[in-house]
Amino acid sequence: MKNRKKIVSMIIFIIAMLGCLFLSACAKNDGVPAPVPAQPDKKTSVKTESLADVNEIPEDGIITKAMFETVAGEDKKVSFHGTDDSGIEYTWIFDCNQIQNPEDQNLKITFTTEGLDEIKKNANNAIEALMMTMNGKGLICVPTLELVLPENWKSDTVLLLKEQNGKLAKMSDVNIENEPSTKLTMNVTTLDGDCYLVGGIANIQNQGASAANGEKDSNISNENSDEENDNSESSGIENSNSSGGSNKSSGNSKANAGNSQNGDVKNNEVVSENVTHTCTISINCSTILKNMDNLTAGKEEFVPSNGWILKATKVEFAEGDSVHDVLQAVCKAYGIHLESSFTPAYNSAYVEGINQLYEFDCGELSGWMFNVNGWFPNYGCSKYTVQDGDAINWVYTCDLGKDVGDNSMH
Amino acid sequence: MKDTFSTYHPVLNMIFFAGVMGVTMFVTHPLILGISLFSGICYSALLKGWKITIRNNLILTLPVMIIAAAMNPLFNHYGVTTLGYLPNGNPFTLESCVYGLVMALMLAGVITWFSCYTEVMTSDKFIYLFGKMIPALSLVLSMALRFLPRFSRQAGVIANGQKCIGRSTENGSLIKRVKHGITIFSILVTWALENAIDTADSMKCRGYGEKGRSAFAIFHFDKRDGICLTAMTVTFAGVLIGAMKGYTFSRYNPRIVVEGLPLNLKSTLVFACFFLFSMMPVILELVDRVMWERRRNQTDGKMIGGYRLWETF
Repeated sequence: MKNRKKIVSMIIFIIAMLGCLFLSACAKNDGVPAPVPAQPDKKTSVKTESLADVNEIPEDGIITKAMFETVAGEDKKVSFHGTDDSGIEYTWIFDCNQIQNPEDQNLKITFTTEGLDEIKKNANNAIEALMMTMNGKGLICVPTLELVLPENWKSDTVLLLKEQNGKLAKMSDVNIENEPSTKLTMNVTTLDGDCYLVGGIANIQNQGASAANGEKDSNISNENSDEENDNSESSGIENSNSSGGSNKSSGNSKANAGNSQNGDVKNNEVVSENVTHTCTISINCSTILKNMDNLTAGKEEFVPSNGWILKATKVEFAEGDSVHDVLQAVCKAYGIHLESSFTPAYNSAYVEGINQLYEFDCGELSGWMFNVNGWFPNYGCSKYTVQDGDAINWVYTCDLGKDVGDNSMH
Repeated sequence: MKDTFSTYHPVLNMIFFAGVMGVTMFVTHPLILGISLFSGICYSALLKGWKITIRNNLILTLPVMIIAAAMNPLFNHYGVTTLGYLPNGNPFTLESCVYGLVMALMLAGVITWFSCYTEVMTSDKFIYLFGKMIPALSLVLSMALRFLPRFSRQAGVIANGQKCIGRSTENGSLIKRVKHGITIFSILVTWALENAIDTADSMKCRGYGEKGRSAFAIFHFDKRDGICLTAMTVTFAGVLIGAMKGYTFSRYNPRIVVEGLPLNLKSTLVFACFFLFSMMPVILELVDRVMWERRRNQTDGKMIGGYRLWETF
């Protein structure tokens, strides 16, 4: 009898254990909002050490998801330091507070200094250029990248450019310090492909620019030329709104953003100047224009001829509002149709359609995505808390993000 | 009572139901759906009587319609005419309401036609049509289609038997009743499994599906079938051509577009074709009744061999 009781209690114990395992597995799955199946976590069995404040980048460049999980959400910054063969030292600085959904990050950068004459020419005859090649996927937050160059640059203005759809578009402005050696500081919003740092001296550059504009060379993005004429004349390189128009961290880019959006803001401004919390929001579906054949019949009239459903508009928001709240408020105010639904798996709202244009309306890889200051967050729009001065861009993709500058799902 | 259309050749029955249900399911034009539902109700009234038809529609179809019509605008928010906003911030639109109503019409139509289908397409007709082509599947289908009614009948038989030995589900404590219910269910499942094996064995013994095996059928394709088939083909072709030309086109997302309304000559022709097609069984039955009356009047009063003719029927 006693023996039997023992066996029964054993069985109950095992069942309870299995139950716990099952529940924890479920809970873990719920927490993964990745639309692509999450890669099996190699490190689950091994206890990962907490990331130190300063780390060396490993040979393969990969900082694993498990490592980021140890610091995610903490109020500190971790940096990753690496050196390229060419002697360029680079340091990534991740703000752990911003990390909501850790993923593997490939932080290795390969630098190329030779053979960039074409780029220099296209960037208004820049005097210095540097190519960075990265092999990562989507970023988990917007890190700061610091480069220390072995040779000093003469430039006083540097821009970070990224090729997108065969054109160069600005990713962010770069802060340059020449003492003691050249140090470039920038915000990076993607981890893939080739990025170019081009530098010049502002005054000379502008003189060159007016001459160059006469013959108007054109590898450089002309997408938004209607709105940004002034801007393109002065710098030759345009803010591409789809890849992130303005950048809050740098004064220079703010001015640019102001410039580029002047026309629209005047018309659309709904807020007075003294409101403390403002951000800009735009809604764009220009990718559909190139894929009109795929568009569901009957939706043609809802695609504006220039792709802009809502041009960059300055709006007021309450403390703690998410991107979704802002979008909903703006759509209500401007009478733009919007459908979104709460998705428990992502613990966030999912935007299904704006202005009658729905997900899957333009091919099976189409749908709405958002970026804030050029970065496509890897979590939902109601989990992103808007900060003062953020530039939110809602863009329609026809290719799972690739055509709007997000390669995290490819 | 058997209606006239049921006595027509099974091919005609099948074509008719396939056609009318296909149109009902794939065309979202409100007028087409309205016609379909109307003629479906008429036919079902002929088959089962007005009382049962109305009762079925009120109990089964109406709630389904209401649910479908109410659900759609709560979960779909497309459409250019915003009537208001739901608490979760999504718009409540006219288009999705209208589409909900159209869906409700479609559902009601399909349900009604299926109820007629089960009356008309008996399993012997179904197996006659498909037994040669797909013997196994047609048997499975015809068994599956009568599965529920058969189960519920058998459940009643078992429940009555159990009641006699004091295992009623109607009195006693709740636990006892549940226990008895479970017993009945278990007997039912056992019976079903055994019956399935029995059926399979018996069909095998009789050589079902074997090469060279023929099945007895009393179906003949005669002149009236030919006439009826021609009429059906002509009217259905009218509907198809109209649908291809876009007279039955409709779209509710993102803007309501309903072609063919207001009626013009061509669209009227298309809708009339569909009306004739879907009313075919009803028309045949009514014609038959009129003919019967007329013949009866002709023979009225004549006595042959001590019987009046119509009473010998």
